[in-house]
Amino acid sequence: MNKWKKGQKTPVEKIRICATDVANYCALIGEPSVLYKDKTYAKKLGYEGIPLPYTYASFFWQKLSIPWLTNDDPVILVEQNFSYDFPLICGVTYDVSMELTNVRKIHEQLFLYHTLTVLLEGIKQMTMKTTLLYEVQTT
Amino acid sequence: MRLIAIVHHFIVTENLVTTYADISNDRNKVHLCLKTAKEKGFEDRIAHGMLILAIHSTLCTPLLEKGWALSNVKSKFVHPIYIHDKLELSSTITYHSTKKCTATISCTNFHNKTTFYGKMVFVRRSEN
Repeated sequence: MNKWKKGQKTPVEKIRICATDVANYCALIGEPSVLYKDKTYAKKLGYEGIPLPYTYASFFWQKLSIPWLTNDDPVILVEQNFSYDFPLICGVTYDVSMELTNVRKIHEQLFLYHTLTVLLEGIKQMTMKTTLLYEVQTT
Repeated sequence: MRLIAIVHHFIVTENLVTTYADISNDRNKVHLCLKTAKEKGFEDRIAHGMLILAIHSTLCTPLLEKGWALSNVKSKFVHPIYIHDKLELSSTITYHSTKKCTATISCTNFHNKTTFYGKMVFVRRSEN
C-alpha cells in the first residue's frame, strides 16, 4: 500500500497551453464556438484571452510526473469535479500540481482521490478533484 | 422561472476514442484493447469518461457567451460507455437568478441507462 500512501504530491510543473492545442481539442469534442478560437471575440466577452474549455484541465494529468500511477494501471474514472475561481487562459503559464488526498479500499476495489491545483502567481485559479477506481471487479 | 433543456445525440466512434487517446496520452488498455476490456469484465472497449464529459461541456458554451462564468461542476460516472454506444447528452437549467444559475448534467445510452450525471453552477461574470 506504500505506493498508494495518501498525502503524496507531484512536483509543481509550469504548464502553458497554446491556442493550437485548444483548437485541436475543440475540433475533437465538436465545440463549434469561436470563443475558443478568436481572441478578439473572447476579450469582447470579458475574458483575458482565449479561455480553455473547462474540461481541458484533465489533460494536465499527462504533463505531471505522478509516482503513484502509470499509464498501464487499470484505472476507471468514477467522479470528476471542477471548481473554478478564474477561467484558465491560453498562453498563460500556470503552476500545476496534484495530490493523492485519500485512498479507500472497499472489498477488492481501491478508490484513489486526487486533487489537481492550478495556481497563477500563487493565487488559486481552479481545482479538479478526480476519483479513480483502481481494481475492477470481474463478474 | 422557465426551464431550458439542451439535448445532443451522437455515437461514440472508434476514431473518436483512439484520437482522444492520442492527444490525451491516456492509453489505458480498457479503451484500446478488446481483450483487456473483456478481461476486466466489460462488454467492449470503453470510452474515456473525460472525453464524453468534454463533449457534454459544449452544451454549456452558450451560457459562457452570455455573461456567465462556470464556477463548479460535479459529475459521477455510474455505467461504462462503450465504443459504438449511441448517447444522449442533456443539460437542463434548474435554477436561475440574476447572479447564479444551476444546470444538470446527464448522459444516457440507447438502453436508456444513465452513464453519468452531475450538476453545474454558473455565476454572473463581474465584467458584464
